[in-house]
Amino acid sequence: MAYSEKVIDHYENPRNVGKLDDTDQNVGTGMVGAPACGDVMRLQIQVGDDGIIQDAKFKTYGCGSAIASSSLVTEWMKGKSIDDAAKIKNSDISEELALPPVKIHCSVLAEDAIAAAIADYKTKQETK
Amino acid sequence: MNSQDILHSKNYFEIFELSESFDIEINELNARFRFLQKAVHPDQHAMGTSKEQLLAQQLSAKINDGYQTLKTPLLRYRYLLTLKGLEFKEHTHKDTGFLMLQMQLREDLSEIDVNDSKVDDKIDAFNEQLNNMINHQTGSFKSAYLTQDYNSAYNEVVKLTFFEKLKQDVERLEDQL
Repeated sequence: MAYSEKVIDHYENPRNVGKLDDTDQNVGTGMVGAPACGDVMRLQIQVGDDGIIQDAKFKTYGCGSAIASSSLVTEWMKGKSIDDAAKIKNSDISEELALPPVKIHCSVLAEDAIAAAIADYKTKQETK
Repeated sequence: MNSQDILHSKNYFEIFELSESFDIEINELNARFRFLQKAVHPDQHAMGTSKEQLLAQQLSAKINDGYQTLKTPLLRYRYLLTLKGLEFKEHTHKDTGFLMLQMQLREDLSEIDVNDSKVDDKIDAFNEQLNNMINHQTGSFKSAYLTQDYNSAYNEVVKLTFFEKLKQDVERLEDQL
Protein backbone atom coordinates (compact mmCIF):
# COMPACT_ATOMS: atom_id res chain seq x y z
CA MET A 1 0.00 0.00 0.00
CA ALA A 2 1.34 3.39 -0.98
CA TYR A 3 1.10 6.29 1.42
CA SER A 4 0.12 9.69 0.07
CA GLU A 5 2.73 12.45 0.01
CA LYS A 6 1.00 14.25 2.84
CA VAL A 7 1.09 11.16 5.04
CA ILE A 8 4.78 10.68 4.32
CA ASP A 9 5.45 14.34 5.08
CA HIS A 10 3.74 14.13 8.49
CA TYR A 11 5.35 10.78 9.18
CA GLU A 12 8.84 12.03 8.41
CA ASN A 13 8.37 15.49 9.96
CA PRO A 14 5.71 15.04 12.61
CA ARG A 15 4.43 18.35 13.99
CA ASN A 16 4.01 18.96 17.69
CA VAL A 17 5.29 15.68 19.06
CA GLY A 18 5.61 15.78 22.81
CA LYS A 19 3.92 16.14 26.11
CA LEU A 20 2.11 18.88 27.99
CA ASP A 21 1.90 19.05 31.78
CA ASP A 22 -1.08 16.88 32.59
CA THR A 23 -1.36 18.36 36.11
CA ASP A 24 -2.07 21.79 34.59
CA GLN A 25 -5.78 22.67 34.92
CA ASN A 26 -5.76 24.13 31.43
CA VAL A 27 -4.41 20.99 29.79
CA GLY A 28 -6.75 18.31 28.49
CA THR A 29 -5.41 14.84 27.69
CA GLY A 30 -7.08 12.33 25.39
CA MET A 31 -5.87 8.73 25.35
CA VAL A 32 -7.27 6.42 22.71
CA GLY A 33 -6.34 3.07 21.23
CA ALA A 34 -7.33 1.06 18.16
CA PRO A 35 -8.25 -2.50 19.16
CA ALA A 36 -7.83 -3.82 15.62
CA CYS A 37 -4.16 -2.94 15.29
CA GLY A 38 -3.01 -2.04 18.83
CA ASP A 39 -2.12 1.56 17.97
CA VAL A 40 -2.04 3.98 20.90
CA MET A 41 -2.52 7.75 20.63
CA ARG A 42 -2.16 10.55 23.16
CA LEU A 43 -3.45 14.00 22.22
CA GLN A 44 -3.13 16.99 24.53
CA ILE A 45 -4.44 20.53 24.31
CA GLN A 46 -3.60 23.63 26.30
CA VAL A 47 -6.52 26.02 26.42
CA GLY A 48 -6.36 29.73 27.21
CA ASP A 49 -8.84 31.59 29.41
CA ASP A 50 -10.56 32.73 26.23
CA GLY A 51 -11.32 29.13 25.29
CA ILE A 52 -8.83 29.15 22.44
CA ILE A 53 -6.42 26.24 22.03
CA GLN A 54 -2.94 27.71 22.46
CA ASP A 55 -0.94 24.54 22.11
CA ALA A 56 -1.45 20.94 21.07
CA LYS A 57 0.90 17.99 21.36
CA PHE A 58 0.65 14.35 20.45
CA LYS A 59 2.44 11.07 20.81
CA THR A 60 1.35 8.13 18.71
CA TYR A 61 2.68 4.60 18.55
CA GLY A 62 1.26 3.18 15.39
CA CYS A 63 1.32 3.13 11.62
CA GLY A 64 2.16 6.07 9.36
CA SER A 65 -1.49 6.96 8.86
CA ALA A 66 -2.14 7.11 12.61
CA ILE A 67 0.91 9.31 13.16
CA ALA A 68 -0.02 11.59 10.24
CA SER A 69 -3.65 11.86 11.42
CA SER A 70 -2.65 12.95 14.91
CA SER A 71 0.12 15.26 13.65
CA LEU A 72 -2.35 16.94 11.30
CA VAL A 73 -5.00 17.53 13.96
CA THR A 74 -2.51 19.21 16.31
CA GLU A 75 -1.84 21.71 13.51
CA TRP A 76 -5.54 22.20 12.86
CA MET A 77 -6.51 22.60 16.50
CA LYS A 78 -4.05 25.35 17.39
CA GLY A 79 -5.77 28.74 17.38
CA LYS A 80 -9.24 27.20 17.26
CA SER A 81 -11.84 27.43 20.02
CA ILE A 82 -12.56 24.09 21.68
CA ASP A 83 -16.03 24.16 20.15
CA ASP A 84 -14.59 24.54 16.65
CA ALA A 85 -11.93 21.92 17.30
CA ALA A 86 -14.68 19.52 18.34
CA LYS A 87 -16.15 19.89 14.86
CA ILE A 88 -13.12 18.34 13.15
CA LYS A 89 -14.38 15.13 11.61
CA ASN A 90 -12.56 12.00 10.62
CA SER A 91 -13.69 12.58 7.02
CA ASP A 92 -11.84 15.95 7.01
CA ILE A 93 -8.67 14.17 8.14
CA SER A 94 -8.92 11.23 5.76
CA GLU A 95 -9.68 13.56 2.87
CA GLU A 96 -6.72 15.86 3.61
CA LEU A 97 -4.34 12.90 3.93
CA ALA A 98 -5.93 10.88 1.10
CA LEU A 99 -6.21 7.84 3.36
CA PRO A 100 -7.20 4.57 1.68
CA PRO A 101 -10.33 2.79 3.04
CA VAL A 102 -8.29 0.37 5.18
CA LYS A 103 -6.73 3.32 7.02
CA ILE A 104 -9.91 5.30 7.68
CA HIS A 105 -9.93 3.94 11.24
CA CYS A 106 -6.73 5.94 11.88
CA SER A 107 -8.61 9.17 11.22
CA VAL A 108 -11.48 7.95 13.40
CA LEU A 109 -8.95 7.39 16.15
CA ALA A 110 -7.71 10.99 15.80
CA GLU A 111 -11.26 12.35 15.91
CA ASP A 112 -11.95 10.32 19.05
CA ALA A 113 -8.70 11.62 20.57
CA ILE A 114 -9.85 15.23 20.03
CA ALA A 115 -13.16 14.47 21.75
CA ALA A 116 -11.36 12.72 24.63
CA ALA A 117 -8.91 15.63 25.13
CA ILE A 118 -11.73 18.20 25.13
CA ALA A 119 -13.81 16.08 27.52
CA ASP A 120 -10.84 15.80 29.88
CA TYR A 121 -10.27 19.56 29.73
CA LYS A 122 -13.94 20.26 30.49
CA THR A 123 -13.97 17.84 33.42
CA LYS A 124 -10.93 19.59 34.86
CA GLN A 125 -12.59 22.98 34.48
CA GLU A 126 -15.70 21.80 36.30
CA THR A 127 -13.73 20.50 39.25
CA LYS A 128 -11.54 23.59 39.39
CA MET B 1 -16.52 -35.65 9.03
CA ASN B 2 -16.76 -35.96 5.29
CA SER B 3 -15.91 -33.14 2.93
CA GLN B 4 -19.50 -31.84 2.79
CA ASP B 5 -19.62 -31.69 6.59
CA ILE B 6 -16.38 -29.73 6.67
CA LEU B 7 -17.59 -27.34 4.01
CA HIS B 8 -20.83 -26.65 5.85
CA SER B 9 -19.53 -26.73 9.40
CA LYS B 10 -19.45 -23.33 11.01
CA ASN B 11 -17.15 -24.42 13.78
CA TYR B 12 -13.39 -24.88 13.33
CA PHE B 13 -13.13 -26.81 16.60
CA GLU B 14 -15.50 -29.42 15.15
CA ILE B 15 -13.54 -29.61 11.90
CA PHE B 16 -10.35 -30.26 13.85
CA GLU B 17 -12.11 -32.56 16.34
CA LEU B 18 -11.03 -30.47 19.30
CA SER B 19 -13.13 -29.48 22.27
CA GLU B 20 -14.19 -25.85 22.23
CA SER B 21 -11.80 -24.27 24.67
CA PHE B 22 -9.17 -21.54 24.99
CA ASP B 23 -6.46 -24.15 25.52
CA ILE B 24 -5.90 -26.77 22.86
CA GLU B 25 -3.37 -29.50 22.23
CA ILE B 26 -1.21 -28.00 19.50
CA ASN B 27 0.10 -31.46 18.57
CA GLU B 28 -3.41 -32.70 17.97
CA LEU B 29 -4.21 -29.64 15.91
CA ASN B 30 -1.08 -30.11 13.80
CA ALA B 31 -1.71 -33.81 13.26
CA ARG B 32 -5.32 -33.27 12.30
CA PHE B 33 -4.32 -30.42 10.00
CA ARG B 34 -1.83 -32.58 8.14
CA PHE B 35 -4.40 -35.34 7.77
CA LEU B 36 -7.11 -33.02 6.46
CA GLN B 37 -4.72 -31.20 4.18
CA LYS B 38 -3.68 -34.44 2.52
CA ALA B 39 -7.28 -35.64 2.23
CA VAL B 40 -8.54 -32.56 0.48
CA HIS B 41 -5.44 -31.40 -1.36
CA PRO B 42 -6.53 -30.03 -4.77
CA ASP B 43 -3.83 -32.14 -6.46
CA GLN B 44 -5.68 -35.26 -5.32
CA HIS B 45 -8.49 -34.12 -7.56
CA ALA B 46 -6.38 -33.06 -10.51
CA MET B 47 -8.13 -35.70 -12.61
CA GLY B 48 -11.55 -34.94 -11.20
CA THR B 49 -14.28 -32.81 -12.66
CA SER B 50 -13.99 -29.06 -12.37
CA LYS B 51 -16.72 -29.22 -9.72
CA GLU B 52 -14.63 -31.62 -7.64
CA GLN B 53 -11.59 -29.44 -8.07
CA LEU B 54 -13.50 -26.37 -6.95
CA LEU B 55 -14.78 -28.22 -3.89
CA ALA B 56 -11.25 -29.30 -3.06
CA GLN B 57 -10.03 -25.73 -3.30
CA GLN B 58 -12.82 -24.45 -1.06
CA LEU B 59 -12.15 -27.16 1.49
CA SER B 60 -8.45 -26.49 1.43
CA ALA B 61 -9.00 -22.77 1.99
CA LYS B 62 -11.36 -23.42 4.89
CA ILE B 63 -9.00 -25.87 6.54
CA ASN B 64 -6.09 -23.45 6.22
CA ASP B 65 -8.16 -20.64 7.63
CA GLY B 66 -9.30 -22.79 10.52
CA TYR B 67 -5.78 -23.93 11.24
CA GLN B 68 -4.42 -20.37 11.40
CA THR B 69 -7.32 -19.29 13.59
CA LEU B 70 -6.94 -22.10 16.12
CA LYS B 71 -3.14 -22.13 16.14
CA THR B 72 -2.63 -18.53 17.27
CA PRO B 73 -3.85 -17.99 20.85
CA LEU B 74 -5.19 -14.47 20.37
CA LEU B 75 -7.06 -15.42 17.20
CA ARG B 76 -8.39 -18.53 18.97
CA TYR B 77 -9.71 -16.44 21.86
CA ARG B 78 -11.39 -14.04 19.49
CA TYR B 79 -12.86 -16.94 17.56
CA LEU B 80 -14.25 -18.49 20.75
CA LEU B 81 -16.10 -15.26 21.44
CA THR B 82 -17.44 -14.97 17.90
CA LEU B 83 -18.87 -18.47 18.42
CA LYS B 84 -20.68 -16.97 21.43
CA GLY B 85 -22.19 -14.36 19.15
CA LEU B 86 -19.82 -11.47 19.81
CA GLU B 87 -18.66 -9.43 16.89
CA PHE B 88 -15.27 -7.72 16.96
CA LYS B 89 -15.66 -4.10 15.99
CA GLU B 90 -13.16 -1.34 15.51
CA HIS B 91 -14.54 0.79 18.32
CA THR B 92 -11.91 3.07 19.78
CA HIS B 93 -10.63 1.86 23.11
CA LYS B 94 -10.87 4.59 25.75
CA ASP B 95 -9.73 3.00 29.01
CA THR B 96 -7.33 5.81 29.94
CA GLY B 97 -5.50 3.97 32.72
CA PHE B 98 -4.85 0.96 30.55
CA LEU B 99 -3.76 3.09 27.59
CA MET B 100 -1.38 5.09 29.76
CA LEU B 101 0.28 1.84 30.75
CA GLN B 102 0.50 0.86 27.08
CA MET B 103 2.00 4.23 26.21
CA GLN B 104 4.52 3.91 29.05
CA LEU B 105 5.57 0.44 27.90
CA ARG B 106 6.05 1.69 24.35
CA GLU B 107 8.11 4.59 25.62
CA ASP B 108 10.24 2.24 27.73
CA LEU B 109 10.81 0.03 24.72
CA SER B 110 11.69 2.96 22.47
CA GLU B 111 14.37 4.00 24.95
CA ILE B 112 16.22 0.72 24.52
CA ASP B 113 19.16 1.50 22.28
CA VAL B 114 20.35 -1.35 20.03
CA ASN B 115 23.92 -0.04 20.32
CA ASP B 116 23.86 -0.20 24.11
CA SER B 117 26.31 -2.81 25.44
CA LYS B 118 23.60 -4.06 27.81
CA VAL B 119 20.88 -4.19 25.18
CA ASP B 120 20.31 -7.95 25.63
CA ASP B 121 19.76 -7.61 29.36
CA LYS B 122 17.42 -4.70 28.84
CA ILE B 123 15.35 -6.57 26.29
CA ASP B 124 15.24 -9.63 28.53
CA ALA B 125 14.03 -7.53 31.45
CA PHE B 126 11.42 -5.88 29.26
CA ASN B 127 10.24 -9.23 27.91
CA GLU B 128 9.93 -10.66 31.39
CA GLN B 129 7.79 -7.75 32.48
CA LEU B 130 5.71 -7.95 29.30
CA ASN B 131 5.19 -11.71 29.54
CA ASN B 132 4.02 -11.39 33.15
CA MET B 133 1.48 -8.81 32.07
CA ILE B 134 0.34 -10.94 29.14
CA ASN B 135 -0.07 -13.98 31.41
CA HIS B 136 -2.09 -11.91 33.82
CA GLN B 137 -4.22 -10.49 31.03
CA THR B 138 -4.74 -13.94 29.53
CA GLY B 139 -5.82 -15.16 32.97
CA SER B 140 -8.41 -12.37 33.19
CA PHE B 141 -9.79 -13.39 29.81
CA LYS B 142 -9.98 -17.06 30.76
CA SER B 143 -11.78 -16.47 34.05
CA ALA B 144 -14.30 -14.16 32.39
CA TYR B 145 -14.87 -16.76 29.68
CA LEU B 146 -15.29 -19.56 32.20
CA THR B 147 -17.90 -17.58 34.13
CA GLN B 148 -19.63 -17.02 30.78
CA ASP B 149 -19.24 -13.28 31.14
CA TYR B 150 -18.51 -12.91 27.45
CA ASN B 151 -18.71 -9.14 27.34
CA SER B 152 -15.95 -8.86 29.92
CA ALA B 153 -14.02 -11.58 28.12
CA TYR B 154 -14.30 -9.47 24.97
CA ASN B 155 -12.74 -6.47 26.72
CA GLU B 156 -9.92 -8.61 28.07
CA VAL B 157 -9.17 -9.91 24.57
CA VAL B 158 -9.12 -6.35 23.22
CA LYS B 159 -6.53 -5.48 25.88
CA LEU B 160 -4.50 -8.53 24.88
CA THR B 161 -4.35 -7.12 21.33
CA PHE B 162 -2.42 -4.12 22.60
CA PHE B 163 0.05 -6.37 24.43
CA GLU B 164 0.37 -8.51 21.32
CA LYS B 165 1.33 -5.45 19.27
CA LEU B 166 3.99 -4.64 21.82
CA LYS B 167 5.34 -8.16 21.53
CA GLN B 168 5.70 -7.68 17.78
CA ASP B 169 7.53 -4.41 18.42
CA VAL B 170 10.00 -6.22 20.69
CA GLU B 171 10.56 -8.88 18.02
CA ARG B 172 11.25 -6.18 15.47
CA LEU B 173 13.82 -4.64 17.80
CA GLU B 174 15.45 -8.04 18.35
CA ASP B 175 15.73 -8.47 14.60
CA GLN B 176 17.91 -5.38 14.49
CA LEU B 177 20.49 -6.90 16.84
